[in-house]
Amino acid sequence: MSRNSKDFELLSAYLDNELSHGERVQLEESIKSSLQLQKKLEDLKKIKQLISSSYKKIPESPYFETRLFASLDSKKPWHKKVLKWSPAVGLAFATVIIMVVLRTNPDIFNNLIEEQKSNIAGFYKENLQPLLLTADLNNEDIFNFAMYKQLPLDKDDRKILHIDYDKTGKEFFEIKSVKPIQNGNNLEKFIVALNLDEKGKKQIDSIMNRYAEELEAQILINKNNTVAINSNLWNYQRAIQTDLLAFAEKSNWQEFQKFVPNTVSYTNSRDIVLAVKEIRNTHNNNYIFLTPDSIFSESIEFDLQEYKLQLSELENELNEQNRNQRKIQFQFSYESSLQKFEDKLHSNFKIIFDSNLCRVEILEFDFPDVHFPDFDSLFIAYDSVASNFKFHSQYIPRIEYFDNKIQFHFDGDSLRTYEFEYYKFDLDSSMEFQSELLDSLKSNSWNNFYNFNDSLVFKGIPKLDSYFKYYDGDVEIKLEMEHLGKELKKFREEMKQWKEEFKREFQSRDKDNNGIK
Amino acid sequence: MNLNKENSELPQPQILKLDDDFSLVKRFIDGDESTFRLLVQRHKETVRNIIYLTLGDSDAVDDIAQEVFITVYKNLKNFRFESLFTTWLYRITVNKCKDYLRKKNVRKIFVPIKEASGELRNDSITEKNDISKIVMKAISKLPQKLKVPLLLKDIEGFSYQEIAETMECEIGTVKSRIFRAREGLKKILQPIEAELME
Repeated sequence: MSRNSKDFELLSAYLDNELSHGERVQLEESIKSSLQLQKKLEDLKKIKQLISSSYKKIPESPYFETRLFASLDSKKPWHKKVLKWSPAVGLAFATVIIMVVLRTNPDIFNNLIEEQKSNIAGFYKENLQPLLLTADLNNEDIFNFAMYKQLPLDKDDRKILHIDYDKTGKEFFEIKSVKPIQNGNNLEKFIVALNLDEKGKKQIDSIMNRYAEELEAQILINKNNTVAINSNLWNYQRAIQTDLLAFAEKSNWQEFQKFVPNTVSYTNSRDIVLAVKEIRNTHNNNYIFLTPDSIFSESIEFDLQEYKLQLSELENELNEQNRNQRKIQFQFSYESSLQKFEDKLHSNFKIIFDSNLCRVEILEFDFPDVHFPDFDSLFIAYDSVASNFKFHSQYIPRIEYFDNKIQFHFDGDSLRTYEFEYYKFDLDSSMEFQSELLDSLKSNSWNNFYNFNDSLVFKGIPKLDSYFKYYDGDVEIKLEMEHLGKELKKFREEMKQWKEEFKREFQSRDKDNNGIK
Repeated sequence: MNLNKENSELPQPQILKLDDDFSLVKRFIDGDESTFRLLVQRHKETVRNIIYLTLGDSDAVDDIAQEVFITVYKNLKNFRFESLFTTWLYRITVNKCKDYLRKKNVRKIFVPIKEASGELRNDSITEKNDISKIVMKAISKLPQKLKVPLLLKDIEGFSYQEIAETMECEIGTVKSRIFRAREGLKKILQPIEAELME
């Protein structure tokens, strides 16, 4: 390296402030005396400035760290990754284990579910008691059950059990909050309508008592809000209904004929009696359990005799202690979690809810098969008899008036509400309104009211509600309408007279005034 | 007396300098891996700039910087505290750049040769930005071993000692290379020297 090169290198280091004190002092001395060194220093300074002014630092990278640590994570040893992903890994392991278990033992979950089911079923099956004993049902209730298929579950809460068949003949039952058919003492009216004597009354009572005893084991309830309905209940309803009607026919054929559509003959009731016997002899332990959160069917052995024995013992004990026996208050709430089971329920049952109704349609169930002669037409006729009897017993609908309509309510049967609209009352069109109302009353929906002979309707009912006139009193209404017409005519004439008087008075006043002027 | 004795037996409070690289590295070695994030935050920009200066373009900067820190992370537990952490870090950075350039040069063989380099004659200086571009272009034509020490000195402000440690060479070598780099740059820029030196 030449002397110059060596000095120039020192100049470069001098610019970078990298010389020792001695080197710097010595170099500065040399620079003072050498123009070449001075010029070289200037060049190097300019180059240095050019470099430092030309380069700009690279902009910061905001995602550098994120990228780096993601990359580091992916490069971590496997055991560290497993630690991080341990929840997912655990889940995966669990899945594999479940799969293996299911593979080797496919029924394990079903068994578990069945076990749980039976636990729940056990809970709901505890302390079941016959409805008839706990709810204080009487002959009237059983009569209503036979005729109208309704049994009160809890008289205070006005919840009823309604059993019936749908249009396709499938059984269903409903628990609903409506007023049970209580107004109108139906059994008594039935007795009155048939004109039964004391002997007949006793016979009816014995029939009811006998069925009451048998019905006891058909509907069971408990404090866990469970209703267990024996699948034979539908047949029992038919049996009691049939038996009652067969008895009615036998005891007073003439009066009975007034109940019954002409199409059905009851003269040969032997077959029916045989069918009733068959129902009685059917031993059936299949119950449908409706609980607040599930529905299931189960075969249980309910020993009524045993139960009664226990009950009487308990009663004795309580009497000894001078205390009253507490009754079960049945409070079935169908607004509860049962609804969420709607889709998941056993396919044999279909549950339908609305605000005050829980309806269970029984799609597939092994009902005891009883051979009624000509089943379909017979029961349609029976239902029609029950329906006819309802009117026959002077069951008078509650009538409500509105501005533009009248509603006829049949308490206890919300479906049967009749409504008639009419124009707002107007004096001039009053006649029109009345005739319209009459027309509507005569419409098809009122045919029910004209089914019977009038004499029977009024028989034994001394105080007839005035509304009842509408159903029958054609003549009376006509008379009333004529009367109203006359009155209106009179009123119009009065108005006319008054108008003319008024007119005359005005004219005379005008004359007086003109005279003053 | 007893009191003094007790005092002397008490563990002395440790003064941890959080801004000290060594203490962060020590904590990392002791198992506190969160300190690595602090080290990254402290040095990432210098590392990125060294790469940028070394390569002359910004395309691969972040990729190489990632590689640098991954290498650091993997090897940090073997750090022996014989040099500054930064020296070790920058050395890794420079080596990563060298690796990159070596691979790039191999790839270049298969790429058609573009215009001959070093032709600055036709370049005209219109704006200040152009001067920067020309200077940067000129610097990029310097050999790596001259260019890197020059830029570490003039841009990053490293001392000769730091550069020597980073480049794993003698201080005298650094001094010489920086001078030669400046001389080389002057020669490259000579055609437009009049305009540049105004």
